[in-house]
Amino acid sequence: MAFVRERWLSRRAVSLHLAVLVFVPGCAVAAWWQIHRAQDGNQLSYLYSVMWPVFGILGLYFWWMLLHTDYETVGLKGMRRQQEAAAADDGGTIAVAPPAPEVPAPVLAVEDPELAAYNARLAELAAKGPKTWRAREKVVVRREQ
Amino acid sequence: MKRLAQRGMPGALFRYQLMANIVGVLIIPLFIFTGLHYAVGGFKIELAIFGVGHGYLYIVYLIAAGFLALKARLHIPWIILMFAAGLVPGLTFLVEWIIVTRKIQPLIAAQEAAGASEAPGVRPAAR
Repeated sequence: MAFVRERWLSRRAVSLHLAVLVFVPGCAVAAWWQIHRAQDGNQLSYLYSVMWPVFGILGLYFWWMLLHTDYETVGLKGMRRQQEAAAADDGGTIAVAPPAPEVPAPVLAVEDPELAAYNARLAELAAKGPKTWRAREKVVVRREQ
Repeated sequence: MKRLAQRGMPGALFRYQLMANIVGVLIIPLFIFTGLHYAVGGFKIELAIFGVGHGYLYIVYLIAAGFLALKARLHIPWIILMFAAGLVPGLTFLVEWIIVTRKIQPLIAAQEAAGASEAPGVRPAAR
């Protein structure tokens, strides 16, 4: 019973119900409006009067799928939880995620200092991983004159 | 083409990115011609082409974005942002970039770190 309440009456579920209760009648009204415009001779509205019911059906489908998608035990969050639980069971022996392998700076046969600095910079950037808003590149690199 | 039919997260990500770029490109002339239509008048054929084209491809975009969001367990505000981004010129590309770099790539990296075959937490099927 608690399971049913959590699925259908949690805050997330209720906000989903409200959204779908606004969105689907809205699509129905828009479809009706376009059907009337099509009957009045607007050729383009025939195409739009098919589109709006499809939007409504998609809204219903994603409402259903979001209600039946488990956010707590699957996905990134669930994976972290399960790994934490497994680590706690084993006394913390399992690492949550293996650390990224160290990227050694490429050693070249010709040791041009400028090229070496460039390669070191590339290795440094590669070690940082992809650029995101949280991990931005703040340093502006200028070549020494 | 192979990635288009690929199952799992990489395929869903590719389909979403493809549709985001198509829809993001189509919305720009639609807005320009809508503005010209109300400012100058005319442009009915252009409006029909881009309006209907964007409208129907937006449906495909919604499906691609929705499936990616379900697969990655994105939360509802992110899903609304993804859906709305297909309607605002320019925002499509920005939201696509944010979603991919902040949400999907960390998830793919975590899945790969956990071992793709025996990751218990990433079953695609809903309970």
